[in-house]
Amino acid sequence: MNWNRALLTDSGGFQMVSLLKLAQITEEGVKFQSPHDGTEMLLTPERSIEIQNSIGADIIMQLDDVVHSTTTGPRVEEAMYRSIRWLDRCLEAHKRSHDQNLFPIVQGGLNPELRKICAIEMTKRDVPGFAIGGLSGGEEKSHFWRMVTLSTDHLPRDKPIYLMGVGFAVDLVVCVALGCDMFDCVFPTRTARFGSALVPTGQLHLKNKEFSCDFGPIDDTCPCSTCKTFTRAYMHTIVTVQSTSCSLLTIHNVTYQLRLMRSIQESIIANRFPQFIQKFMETMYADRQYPQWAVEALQSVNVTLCLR
Amino acid sequence: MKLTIKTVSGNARLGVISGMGRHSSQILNTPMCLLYTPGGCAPYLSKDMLQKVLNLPQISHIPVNAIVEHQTSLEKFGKGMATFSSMEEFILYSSVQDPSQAVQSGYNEKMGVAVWTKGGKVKLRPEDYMQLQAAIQPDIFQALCDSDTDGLSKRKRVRKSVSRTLEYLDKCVELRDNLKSLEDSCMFGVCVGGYEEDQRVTSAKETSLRPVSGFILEGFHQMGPEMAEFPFTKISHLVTATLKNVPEDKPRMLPGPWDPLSIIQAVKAGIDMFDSTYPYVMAEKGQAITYVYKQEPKELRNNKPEDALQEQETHATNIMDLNEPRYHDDFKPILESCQCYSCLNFTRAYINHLLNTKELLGQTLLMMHNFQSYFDFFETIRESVAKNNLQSLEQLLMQHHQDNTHFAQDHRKS
Repeated sequence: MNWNRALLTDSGGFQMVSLLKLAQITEEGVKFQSPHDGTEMLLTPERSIEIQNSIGADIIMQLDDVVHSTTTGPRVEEAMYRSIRWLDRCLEAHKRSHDQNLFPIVQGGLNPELRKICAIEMTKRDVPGFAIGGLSGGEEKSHFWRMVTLSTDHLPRDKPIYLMGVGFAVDLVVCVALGCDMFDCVFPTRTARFGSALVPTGQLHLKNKEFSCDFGPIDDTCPCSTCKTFTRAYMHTIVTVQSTSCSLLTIHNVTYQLRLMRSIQESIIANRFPQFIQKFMETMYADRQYPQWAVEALQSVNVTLCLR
Repeated sequence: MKLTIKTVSGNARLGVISGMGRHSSQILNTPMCLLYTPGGCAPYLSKDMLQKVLNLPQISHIPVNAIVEHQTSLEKFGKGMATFSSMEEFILYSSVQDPSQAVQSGYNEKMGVAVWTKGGKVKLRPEDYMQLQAAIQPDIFQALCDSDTDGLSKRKRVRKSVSRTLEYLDKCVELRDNLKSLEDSCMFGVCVGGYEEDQRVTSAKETSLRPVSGFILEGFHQMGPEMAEFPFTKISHLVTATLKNVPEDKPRMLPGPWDPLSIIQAVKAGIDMFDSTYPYVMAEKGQAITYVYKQEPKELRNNKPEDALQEQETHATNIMDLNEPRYHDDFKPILESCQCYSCLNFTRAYINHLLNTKELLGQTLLMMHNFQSYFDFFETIRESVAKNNLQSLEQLLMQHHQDNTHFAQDHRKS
């Protein structure tokens, strides 16, 4: 890749279950059909770690038994306990613990008892950090934040916590407040390819006619090369039409995400994070109709949003 | 606009173009190609990536079909397409059709020409077309024309394309006098005539009588990706017949995705300007241009004998299809001797992987390599014309065509 910076690989579990039609999960591993040529393949915890060892990323993930966040019933419990057993198999199979950091993934669906058991169990293993999985799959936000905060409550405070699959700007801000440190999401780059730019007030769907004569930059506070070079009106003419627009908007959206996280960090260091959150929410929700789940989640960590 | 011929080698010309309206201080050396920038940007490449390509052509080529739906925005903006797309440092050329896309045949009418936008077909009469160009404010533009003919067109259709193209040209000349924003722009006339040699002569002679700054030869092919394998030799007699009947001191352009061998042959016939749709069309297919242009072998980066052999093998094939499974674990760059961003930083295996996983970066890297390759090639052509060496350059490329066959045969045997 000729990439001189850090690298993180996922185990393939989520992709298999979410992207493949016939994935069959057993104690051994996940049996599925190769998307390239249809041949039957088996992904075991050992095989996943072997592949991740050879790719050589700095952070690697256990193979977990992922269930969709809206699943209920005994399957959720089965998956949670199996994830713990698979974690141990991954740790056993890991050949490069001296230079690759293996993170467990806390499961348990939307069941508080199961989540708690999983977090406590996984904490007993000697690992450099933790991931929270099985959320960000379309479940109700009021359940989502409660599971995030429950997970962070039962994980060590001195190790990084990686919330997988999150996400949107509001989710990032709230989940940092709840104790998460790392995130990933396809949203910024995917939405860029579809012509949407991320801005402090939300999103600009540049394909819309309202931008056809808007000769300002996407975001006048943004230092990225796209905002310094092109107008909204020009972007309107190329999004979803010229391939270059994918690159240009990706540059902007990634810059937006990095700037957001940077300003979160700075406000925490300066001991002004609650004020940052207030300002952020006011900009995002000009009508002050803050999402109820966000208000409650922030309240749970003593951040009260004022309605000015 | 002024074309000064510095050297002549047979019918090939080494020239200098100067005095282009707003860019009067710039000079361009011919034979040259334009930078293909549909909608105002190079495909896949943000400006900082584009700046990494060396020998960038100074003329940016924008087909109008990508702009016609946004004419209102452009008019409101008021400062022209070059500024609108942040390409002010380039000379702007705008064409009727996009040569990288095959024109859908049969949609031109007496009153106007069909162009294809994302939203569908748009009919442009000369008055519509000139209003659009007035909003674009190009430095050079193509007169409206009916080039919808090819090798299968009937004589009646060909004659119609010739007479319509002249009617449109006259209308464009007339309308242009009333459009202030076009007063510094140069208009090129279009010579058509299908495969009817006498019609080609008529079109050339008549177009020469109009006040045009250059000549564009079209109507040989529907264009698009299939043209990448269309040999110039099929139309060389028609091009020669046309060029005999246009003045020497004005530039001649032959649009279309022409492969390097065809380019040399067209230069030999007397063509000065080409576009760069060929590198784009090849990148879209996942293919890299791997012609070797320099007659002396370049120093290989690693100086290993096995690399020299591989390089030879590669040079035997003018095109490398990075989709092929054989590149799966081939950790050499596309070409050892290439100094482009892609060859200096990435391997065939990585590009093969990107194409397999449908990542945009695959086409991005191929676009950069192919552009670099093509622009370097035009540098070589100019050197060859100056040294009266075109013949041996042509022979070198024809050798590759032959080697290509041998290479393929050897592979089939093993």
